[in-house]
Amino acid sequence: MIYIIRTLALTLVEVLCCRIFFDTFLKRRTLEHHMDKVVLLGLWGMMFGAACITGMVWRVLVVVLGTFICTRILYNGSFIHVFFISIAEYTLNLMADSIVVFLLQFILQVDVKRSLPENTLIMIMCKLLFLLCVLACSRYFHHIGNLSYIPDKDWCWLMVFPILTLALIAGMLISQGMMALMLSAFGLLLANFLFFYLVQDIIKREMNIREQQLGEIQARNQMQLYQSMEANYEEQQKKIHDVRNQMECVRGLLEDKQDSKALEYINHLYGTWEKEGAFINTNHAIVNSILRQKLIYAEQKRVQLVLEVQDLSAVRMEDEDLVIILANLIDNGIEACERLKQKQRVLKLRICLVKNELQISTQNAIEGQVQKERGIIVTSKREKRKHGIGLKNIHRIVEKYNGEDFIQYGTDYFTHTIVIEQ
Amino acid sequence: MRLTIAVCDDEGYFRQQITQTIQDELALRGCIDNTINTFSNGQELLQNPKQLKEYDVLFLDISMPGENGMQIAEKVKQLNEKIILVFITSYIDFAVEGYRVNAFRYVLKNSLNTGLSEAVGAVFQQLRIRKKELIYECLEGTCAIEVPELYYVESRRHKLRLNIKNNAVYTMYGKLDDLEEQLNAYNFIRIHKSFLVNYQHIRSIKNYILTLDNGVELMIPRERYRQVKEQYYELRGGLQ
Repeated sequence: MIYIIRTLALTLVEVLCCRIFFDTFLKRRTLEHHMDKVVLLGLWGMMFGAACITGMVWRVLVVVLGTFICTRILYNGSFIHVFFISIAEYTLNLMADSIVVFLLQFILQVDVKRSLPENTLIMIMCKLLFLLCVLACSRYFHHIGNLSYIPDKDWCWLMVFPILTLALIAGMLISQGMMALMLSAFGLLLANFLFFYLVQDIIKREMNIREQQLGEIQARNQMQLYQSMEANYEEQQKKIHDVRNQMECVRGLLEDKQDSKALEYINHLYGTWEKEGAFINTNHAIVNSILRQKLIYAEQKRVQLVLEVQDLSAVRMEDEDLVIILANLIDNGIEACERLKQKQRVLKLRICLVKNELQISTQNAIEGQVQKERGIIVTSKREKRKHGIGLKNIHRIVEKYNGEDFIQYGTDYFTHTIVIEQ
Repeated sequence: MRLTIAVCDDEGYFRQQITQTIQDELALRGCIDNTINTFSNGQELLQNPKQLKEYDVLFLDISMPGENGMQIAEKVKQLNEKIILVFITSYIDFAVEGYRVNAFRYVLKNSLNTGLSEAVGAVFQQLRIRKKELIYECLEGTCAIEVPELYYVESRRHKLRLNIKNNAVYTMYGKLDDLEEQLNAYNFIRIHKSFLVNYQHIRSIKNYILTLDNGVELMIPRERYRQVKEQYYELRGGLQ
């Protein structure tokens, strides 16, 4: 029974190693309905069967042929290429076995033909070395996979685990009784520490990446705001220039005693000035600026932005935070509307101060279901890197002001409300 | 539902465009038998105060010769406080004065069709609730209550107390669950097993206390608090 469980476990490791090895050199086929898992299960069964065959030649033949057939089903590649890779994988497996046996027998002077438990330890060592080799191949030959992106420092950290395990098993084989137990206990202690530092390192890097992304978005929002302010300033300068010319004209008319013409001209000017007062006034310079800029943006995207705003002079929030909240909320809404038919492209934005409570909400129609991943709403942006960043940014600022964030959605609408005490 | 609408714009072309779009949009919502009167300036609109009081909604151009739309709006509001004001404008011009007259929508002339479509939809929704009359057999006799007049309903010992404007109360026999189902379409929120509140009259929800705009304060149980807030902000987010 133990023998069967051992063989099953070891062949499973071989199948998993196979997968990593083939992923390194071949391109996966797209199979339907978990077909790949079924094939891998078949490969596992076949490897288990082969392990029960006593004749060495037959065993090699069955394993290589089985691996070759499964690989042909799972991966794209020419007949020769797949055959060569299958042979290479098996050779690597055998090499790992041979190296372990050689090291134990001739360097560490361990008798490899011993009882079942000790023999199992040796087998585990063989498979571990095989895994190490496969991972190394993946790291240095795979140009698309995840491992090729790991920096050298982390790679060393990761490799410490299998190497440490190898050393531990070897130590257990050499030493006897309590000594072996002590050794493994110390080894596990060390592995725990290493694991802790590795995780800490990963978290630190993740936080750095997050900070960098937040910084990028903040910088972009600020940039947009400055651009909008600059455009306003330029417009103002142009207006001043125009007014100076117009005043010159009025002075000329008055100097020529053409009073009625001057009056007519002034009336005409009033008419044009009134029409040119194209602005949104909420008594809050930053809100005005963002709304103006976003109205133009929405118009470009053919989205109708319906606003409900009021006198916001009493809003007490840092400009930068207000920019992030408004810009992200509106951008998210516009982005959602872009996927809708023209008639449905309406984004409602409400910014109100009610009883010292700043309420900002957006509502838009949606098409289909809101997508969630682990309870967190994800956007359907094409740029995967920016997934959910906007919403996270909003949450961060709402938390900073001890505010509340409400997201409600049905089959055809999505509402996002932020409430911040002033 | 029958609506009485006024359209005021100095340009004939826009008057016709606006009228046509309103008619089309209302017809889409099954509202056909409406009255739409058009005016070319504020003076014309204001010269019949009695008629002005009848209008449910006014579509008003902001830039007109003589008195501008904002000035006209202030006068109209003094005569008809309930009127819904939709400003039509050539430029994005949301001035603070607009808040004073409680403008419902600003529609841009360069996107008149889409803008008006949304605005008419929102007006229709608003008036659907505003004009709905609830008729109940109360202990005080048969009473007709318009939805906006009903502030909240309290269930007390198998009786329902309908709290309406001016702190008046009607009492009737019934279950709050049944009334909740009936009033569901008119934005009522169940804040407590004994209280059903008209969302329109909620001024604030803070520290487990809901304050109505008539000053009445109602307690929200801890287990319902988040849900009530969510419901409230969801309705608020849909604008008017």
